[in-house]
Amino acid sequence: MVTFQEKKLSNGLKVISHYDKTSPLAIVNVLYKVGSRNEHSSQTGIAHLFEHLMFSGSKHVEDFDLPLQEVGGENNAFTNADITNYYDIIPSENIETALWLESDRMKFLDLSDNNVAIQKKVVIEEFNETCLNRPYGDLWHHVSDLCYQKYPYKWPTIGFTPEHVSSISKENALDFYARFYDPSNATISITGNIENDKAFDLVNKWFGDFKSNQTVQPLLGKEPTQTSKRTKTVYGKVPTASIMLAFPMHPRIHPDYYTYDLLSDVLGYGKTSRFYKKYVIEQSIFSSINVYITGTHGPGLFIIEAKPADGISIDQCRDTIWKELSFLKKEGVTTYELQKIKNSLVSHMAFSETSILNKAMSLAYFDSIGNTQLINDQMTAYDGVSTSQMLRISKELFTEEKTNEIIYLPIEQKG
Amino acid sequence: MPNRSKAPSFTTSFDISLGEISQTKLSTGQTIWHIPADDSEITRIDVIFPSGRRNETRKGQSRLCIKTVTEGSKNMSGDNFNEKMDFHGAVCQSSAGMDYTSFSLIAMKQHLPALLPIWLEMILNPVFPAKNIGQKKNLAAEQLKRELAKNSVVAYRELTAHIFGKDHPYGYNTEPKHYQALNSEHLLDFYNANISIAQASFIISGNIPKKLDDSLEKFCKKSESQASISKPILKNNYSIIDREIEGLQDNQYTLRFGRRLFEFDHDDSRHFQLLNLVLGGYFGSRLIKNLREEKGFCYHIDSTVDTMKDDGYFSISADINPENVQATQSEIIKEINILRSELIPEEEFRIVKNYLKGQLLTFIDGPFAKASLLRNYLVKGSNPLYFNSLSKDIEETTREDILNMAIKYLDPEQLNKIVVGK
Repeated sequence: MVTFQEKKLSNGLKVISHYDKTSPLAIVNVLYKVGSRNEHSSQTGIAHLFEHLMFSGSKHVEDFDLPLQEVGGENNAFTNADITNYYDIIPSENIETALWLESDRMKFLDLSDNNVAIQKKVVIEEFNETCLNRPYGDLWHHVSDLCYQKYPYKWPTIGFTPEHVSSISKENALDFYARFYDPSNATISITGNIENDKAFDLVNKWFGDFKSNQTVQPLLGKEPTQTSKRTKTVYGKVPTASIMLAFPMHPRIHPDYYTYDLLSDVLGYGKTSRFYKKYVIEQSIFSSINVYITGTHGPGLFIIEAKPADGISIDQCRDTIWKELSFLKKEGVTTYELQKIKNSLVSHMAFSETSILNKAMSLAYFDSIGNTQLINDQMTAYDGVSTSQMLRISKELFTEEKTNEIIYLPIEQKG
Repeated sequence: MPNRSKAPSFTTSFDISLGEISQTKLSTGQTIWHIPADDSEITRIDVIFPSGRRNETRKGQSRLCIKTVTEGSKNMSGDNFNEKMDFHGAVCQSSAGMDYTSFSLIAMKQHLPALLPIWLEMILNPVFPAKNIGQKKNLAAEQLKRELAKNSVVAYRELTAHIFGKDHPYGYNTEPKHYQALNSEHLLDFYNANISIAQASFIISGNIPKKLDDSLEKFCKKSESQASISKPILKNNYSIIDREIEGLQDNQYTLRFGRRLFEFDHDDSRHFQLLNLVLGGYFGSRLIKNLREEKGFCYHIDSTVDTMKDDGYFSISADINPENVQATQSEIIKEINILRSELIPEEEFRIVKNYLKGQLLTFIDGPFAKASLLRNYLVKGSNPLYFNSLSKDIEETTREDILNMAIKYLDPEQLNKIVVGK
């Protein structure tokens, strides 16, 4: 149970506080409701590049990192399709330094041409390091493009190509800042050894006088229902073949989300999950298997990703996956399997609650999907999932016409 | 309206100590460390054995052995065990280190009575069934094949092989053929010779049940293991190389510089850690500032210190666009030479010290962070209570100490230099 209080400032900034006196630290987590889905398809990668630019310094603070390091703190950030999340880990006595820094860059970011030029180079090296120079690193470029026709999940957060990142100008960045980095588009969560009243007072002190310039955000478009199977074969410098099946599923806030999540765990989480136990251990068909959901704010994906064991073909891999899915659609899951997954979630959540960083991120995240209480209530939602719901979702989800199939092969196999 | 031009006031006198932990000794001789947190629902138990890769008689033996311990015991199949753990939402971890072996059980407190006996049974009476070992060998070999497609992995392996020697336990590289050559008997041999409950230590963290010590003691009493562990002397074959290696990926080259250092408890260890921070150990480091934030040559560049029980090494790592590889190498050497010839400015030194003290707080943030910290000391044969003196050591370190460390250990001529690319 995570006890917390939440408030909204008059400028629209959402503030959430959770007091945990057992920690010597405090977390200041600032979430902006902007991600790569808010980009234009001709200039992708700007949300993530902008995350880098947020460390450029601001009107009253030349360097973001230095003052934080000086008081014993550190920070990091991540961007995904839906959100950009910044966090500071700091000795709790010095929390005000983090609020000073975060507030200054929310309102007074100072971008120079040089900052933009350098960070574009850094991000292109990140593109190289994490996508182009890594085996299977560009898989999600192919998956996103194949699975989405209209919705702006059609490109990964890093961007469609390095050229898109290169094309971003300082003016583009400033426009992005003006549109999305507004108090009304942000949630700040504070956890750790700071009493709630003090947290609210300090946030009010540093952010309270900001005016909101909220502009109307464009609608994100609607993904049409998939009606036929899509396939793609990719060749690259990879050591073994790989197959991925992706099936469209509902957004995170849909009540069926919990059923999808449990279903992915029954199939692929842990040594006793169906795919792992039968086909990695007992029959040696796969050398690795991953089953997971993307859980995005918008239309999501249910993913099954397998690599064949030595001597097994991709066709055998695909047949095996479908054989198991057909069995699932016919027989469903057992009460025992469902209970096992629910039990593991209970432990997982209890463990997660031992970290003030996890708690800060979760509180802000749940607020971003519209319900902070989910941090405590989501287990009830998981608990309510029945075997008949699992069967219904299996039948709806795993059909030929809703399949997106990506095969990744070593370049030597290209005919 | 706050005064934004003035930084808020701050303190740097933190209480950096392990706080409420205690140790007791069982009648059977084992030490148990307790890190209680009654408000948690989770209990974590770590058991640590002071033997690992260094005690092998065959390459790959310790890792495969430890990873397959839970495949079956005298009284329970691995399948049955995994089902019971998963059904209770528990996590079992194992770690096969250079100098140690450890097993961990992380579970909701209420499930401990059901899980503790079977977990101990599994890790203390393994039988290594031949069929399961065959599967694990194949999986390990295929995983290795995937890893070797990464330039960074190729570079790391090359570096440690040169720093310690290609047959040294800290330096040798596992190859698929090593796994293929192992059988159940080899694993059982390793286990019987090296994993002895008489030599174990325990760390219990989180919500600690009242009679847990008694349960562990009972188990220790009835355990049959009698291993008398060999204490091999490690012989280092240090060599220096400067070479380029062909890698599978060519959008970027992986660059690794490195050299042999010293063991975990070495007198220079604490001063060198500060030097490492200044050079490449945190986001404000000189390498990050120069090569990422000023030149945009790379996404990551860092330097690290890795110390084991009896030896250690220092390395610098980066992935660089091919056209900037030469320039990056020159800049690294330039930064090292500055550290070898000039005292670090007071301001920079003050920031690094404060930053490090803040980092130490993250190591004691909660019972499970403390458990990891304790484990890190114990596996190196060191005393966790040394942690309580680190803050004072940091305060007392001088700029001259840092300069001396750089002169002593960072001679560019003594660095191995490896570049992996096309």
